[in-house]
Amino acid sequence: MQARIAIGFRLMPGGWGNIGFLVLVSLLLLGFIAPLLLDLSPYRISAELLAPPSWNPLSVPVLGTDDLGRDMFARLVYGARCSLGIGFVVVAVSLVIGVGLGLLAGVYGGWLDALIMRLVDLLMCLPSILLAIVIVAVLGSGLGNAIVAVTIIGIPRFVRVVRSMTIQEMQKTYVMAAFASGSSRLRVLWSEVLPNCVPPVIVQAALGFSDAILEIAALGFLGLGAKPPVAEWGAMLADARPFIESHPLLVVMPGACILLTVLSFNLVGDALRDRLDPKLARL
Amino acid sequence: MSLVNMPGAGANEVVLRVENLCKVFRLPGAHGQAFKALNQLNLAVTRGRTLAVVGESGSGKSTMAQLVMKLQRPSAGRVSLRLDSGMRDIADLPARELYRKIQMVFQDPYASLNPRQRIWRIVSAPLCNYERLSRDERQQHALHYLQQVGLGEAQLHAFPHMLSGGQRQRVNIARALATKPEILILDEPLSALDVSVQAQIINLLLDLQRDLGLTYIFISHDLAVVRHFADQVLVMKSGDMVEWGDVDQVLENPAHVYTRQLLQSVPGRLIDLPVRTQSASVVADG
Ligand SMILES: Nc1ncnc2c1ncn2[C@@H]1O[C@H](COP(=O)(O)OP(=O)(O)OP(=O)(O)O)[C@@H](O)[C@H]1O
Ligand SMILES: [Mg+2]
Repeated sequence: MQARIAIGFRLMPGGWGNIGFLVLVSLLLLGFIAPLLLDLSPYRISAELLAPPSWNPLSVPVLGTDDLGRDMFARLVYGARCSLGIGFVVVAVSLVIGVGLGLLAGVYGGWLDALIMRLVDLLMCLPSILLAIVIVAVLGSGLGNAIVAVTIIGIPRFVRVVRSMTIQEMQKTYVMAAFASGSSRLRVLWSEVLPNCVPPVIVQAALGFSDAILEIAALGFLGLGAKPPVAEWGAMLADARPFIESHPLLVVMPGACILLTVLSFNLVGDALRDRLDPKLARL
Repeated sequence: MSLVNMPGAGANEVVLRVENLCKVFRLPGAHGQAFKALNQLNLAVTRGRTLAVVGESGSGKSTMAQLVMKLQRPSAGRVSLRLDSGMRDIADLPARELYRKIQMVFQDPYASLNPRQRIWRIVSAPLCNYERLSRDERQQHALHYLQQVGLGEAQLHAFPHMLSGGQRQRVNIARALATKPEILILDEPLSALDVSVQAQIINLLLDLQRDLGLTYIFISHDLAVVRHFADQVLVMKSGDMVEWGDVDQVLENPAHVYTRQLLQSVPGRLIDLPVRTQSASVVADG
């Protein structure tokens, strides 16, 4: 039990990262617990259109309603759930694929390494949002395809860091000692190489989260991701655009949510990097 | 193991034979030059004996060890090992069978232990390639082998950085013993240790040889230790085999200039054992 608590504390990234961490935890609670406790619906339409925020926590549309009379607070909460949920799926899938490819490239080298790394270069040579647009254009627009696109874009960061770690590790004498005791390549990767990849991969995952959320929102804003009725921050931003002068808060609120989330993930990622992976720290 | 301890049985039996072993490295670059690290090496190792391999730095000693351990592929030649069924080429042996017979202690006792693993995990890792073991069983086995090399419960859960150099080398030896090998390759097992610890490790190795009937290939810089420790000696120079024979004969009566140079560069050190580490002058002279 004490160990559990200790691990909980070790998850805290430290410094500014702690603030980011707390923001993310509260967003997570808001997105996944609030809908269970409160009677919130992102789609229910009330008669009050474009109601201003009341700023009174007891009144029902706390943050007012949008142009169709939908509760802004509910939509933001469901947007948090959407962004964090999608971010999680995207990071999890691109992490698994990226780590796998990185290990393959690092262990086998040769043409397989060359092939994987050229594909990675290809993915990294365009700005990610442009690439996301290209992929969505090929696959067709929609939230599902946007997720696929962002997942693909998330892969290279993991491939690169895991490949370089693997190449370094495979030179180590203790890896040779593992081979010399009859361990198979798979076992060596699993028990000697992979554990050393964990810290940089965690750092990349935190940074990948923020990129994924930003890209999903951008695609939503461009109308290539989430489609109108869905409560997604990027799409909400796009919906609110016509009212930017008359009701600026409709734009500011989802925008601030995106900013806050992305910023928090970056703070956490950077703090983790400083702590877990000093070699990679930005200068 | 019991077979080995039986007096007479398998005496003078060759357990490892190296024939025409060559290793050529291609140096990096588009038209990489070929570099001969090992050239036409021949040797035979007798059961229960110690063969020392000496030579200056870069003479290919570790390369030879890695070829014999099948950690690298030879450019030419072969290594064969005695199994119950007779001599077998290690190229045809599955890893599981090979590493049951032969194990190695690596040159650097610091680098050869994974810094992120606890000692019990390191020592029992080889066993996991042969049977499924629970955590408890692994710790029991690890403790057994640690006790065999003079360590104990105190080190079981430590990380490598918590141990002294001599203790780490003992852990390395314990790991090498874990598959109950018959042949142990010791790649400069003393060079990273200070003198008092060197003597302890030598005594440990001698005890283990006596108790377990181990056959050693002992790579070293230090001719004084070799003389005390080995039965036969192989002298190498830049990948070539210079001289090979019984220790007394080669060190008393070196047939080759290079051996004589090696001997001269360690003046007065052939008689008494408590010795200084690595003779740096060997390198300088050669
Ligand atoms: N992977 C490799 N690629 C190219 N050259 C290599 C490689 N491994 C070893 N060599 C070269 O082969 C030669 C022999 O190296 P080796 O490590 O066997 O020497 P050694 O006798 O063990 O020396 P030391 O006493 O310093 O350990 C050296 O010149 C080394 O540079
Ligand atoms: Mg060496």
